[in-house]
Amino acid sequence: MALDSADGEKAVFGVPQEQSFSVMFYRKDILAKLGIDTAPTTWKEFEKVTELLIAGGYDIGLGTTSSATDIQNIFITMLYQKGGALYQNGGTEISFSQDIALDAFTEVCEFYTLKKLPVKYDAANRFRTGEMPILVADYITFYNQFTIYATELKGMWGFTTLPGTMRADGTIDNSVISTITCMVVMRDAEDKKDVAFDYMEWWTRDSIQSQYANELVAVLGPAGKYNTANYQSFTEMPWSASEAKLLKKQFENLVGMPEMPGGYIISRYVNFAFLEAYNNGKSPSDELQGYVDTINREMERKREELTRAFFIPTDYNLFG
Amino acid sequence: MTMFQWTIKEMKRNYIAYIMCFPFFFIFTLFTVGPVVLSLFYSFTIFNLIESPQIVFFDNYIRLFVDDDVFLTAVSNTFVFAVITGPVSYFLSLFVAWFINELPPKIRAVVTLIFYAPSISGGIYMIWQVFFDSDSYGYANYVLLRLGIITEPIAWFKNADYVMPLCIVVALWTSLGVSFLSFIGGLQTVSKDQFEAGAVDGIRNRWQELWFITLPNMKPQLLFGAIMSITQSFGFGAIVTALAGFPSVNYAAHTIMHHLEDYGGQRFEVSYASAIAFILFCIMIGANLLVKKVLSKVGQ
Repeated sequence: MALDSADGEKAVFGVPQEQSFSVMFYRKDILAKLGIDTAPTTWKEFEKVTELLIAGGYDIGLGTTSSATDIQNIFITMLYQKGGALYQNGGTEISFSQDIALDAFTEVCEFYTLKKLPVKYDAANRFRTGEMPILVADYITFYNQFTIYATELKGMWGFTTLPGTMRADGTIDNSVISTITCMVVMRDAEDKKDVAFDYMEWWTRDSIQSQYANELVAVLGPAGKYNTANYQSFTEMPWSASEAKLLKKQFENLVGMPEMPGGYIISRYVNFAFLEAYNNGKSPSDELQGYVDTINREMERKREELTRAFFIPTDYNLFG
Repeated sequence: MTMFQWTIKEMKRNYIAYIMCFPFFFIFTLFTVGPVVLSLFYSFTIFNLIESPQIVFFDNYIRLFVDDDVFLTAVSNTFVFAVITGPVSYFLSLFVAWFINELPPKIRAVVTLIFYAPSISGGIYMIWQVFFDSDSYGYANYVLLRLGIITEPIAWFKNADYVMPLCIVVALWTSLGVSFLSFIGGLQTVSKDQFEAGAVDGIRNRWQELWFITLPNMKPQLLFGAIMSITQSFGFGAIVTALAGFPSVNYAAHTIMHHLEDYGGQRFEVSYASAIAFILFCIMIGANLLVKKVLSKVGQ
């Protein structure tokens, strides 16, 4: 994990500790009743399923907007699936003026403006009553909550990987944005650096992470699963065989959103653009494009500030 | 002896009084005056809490007025809030206190509690968010959908058209606070003799009574209430953040306080935030002086 600077040379690294990403939960019983046997694998199929469900009076949950980052989640996922990237020009500018980004954003907004998917909903309740048979949510937090929340539905729900986008050559791009929590050592912790590093090395060891994850489940029960970033212990967690297969497949397609100075401003304006489209029916691509200059200016200010204040290290050597 | 020598002599004579005042003045200077002066100093620098500050004189202020359109939105929002919330809540407190004054004591106590409770009950304003939830099962949305007035749920606090009026209503609801109680107390202290004398002198109705007798007797409370409501209305920010998120959609309910928090707390441009804080300080002092002048004319 790295905080990059513009030229890609100076960087800050962190060791991954926890990793979360979205998957698509679905109610097997309700979908079977409607004649949908296989979960959609591409966004085009997903749109068809959406139309079928909306016509039947059901809802689909594509992520709540209780925080600004959820629209961004699906939007950036689609952007990466189409082969785009978040930044351009070596990370100095946001790529939202490119057609590929505007198309992805319009596609996401249209789920809410044209197909009328709900913007805010209580996921657990709606999934349980069956009004929302398909739901995009975090793979562990929702899983943990729902396992103990709706015990009467055991076996009637499952999850699968998010829909992908068809590439030109016919294969499906399944990239999904993931959020990662990392550990870092402060450079100014002079005498404690070695101790800190030893602790980091111990904590992120395969065996220790597995042990921690298993103990959490032993103490908290099935709702205690832990979203470790360690691939080894991730595969050793008590998932069922089919669940583990799906998760491994998704894990291999995870993409980390690169973090550049000033990047915090992106979710704010993406949210503003979305709300303008949703509340007032404006064109999503126009709105998003209108904010490109503001975002670029903020990134430039922060980049200037951080390189001047040299806490992006120039010659930091992790190993000596 | 000169004025100065006389002053020193009086101070020495009353040294006990000064010692008693000292604790308050020490803490006041340390935690209120000191930070204001320090903030003024930082507003002339570039400072991000990590590097040492570099003096740039008026750059922050120039950037604030010339290059920052969010600040202009924030100023207009703040004035809308202040002009509506300040006077309206002030007059609301006054008239509610005046009507409550007519009631018998026990009922007066109960009704006072009902009106005063929202301002002391901490985070109870969140109930407005529950009522105006963006969820189609939220109370407002559900009722409107059932009655057929709307066809889709409205994202109340995330809609630029509704967020400002809603925040103003919540502000008025929580604003019946300390000044309200001081008005009730002040109304009690007006002596009955004055009303009788007024009746003899030709006061014809309740409104004349209010303007010529009640209000002039309450000038200290009126002043106190005015200062409290102005300070509150300019510093009104935490409730908006809790209800509408940070920042509110399209900066529609973004006040100067939020702009300050944005630059200070989120972007860590502490020097720029200090410049914003100083501007807010000047606006508040100006408003206070204006209101004092207006209030000195009460009863004439």
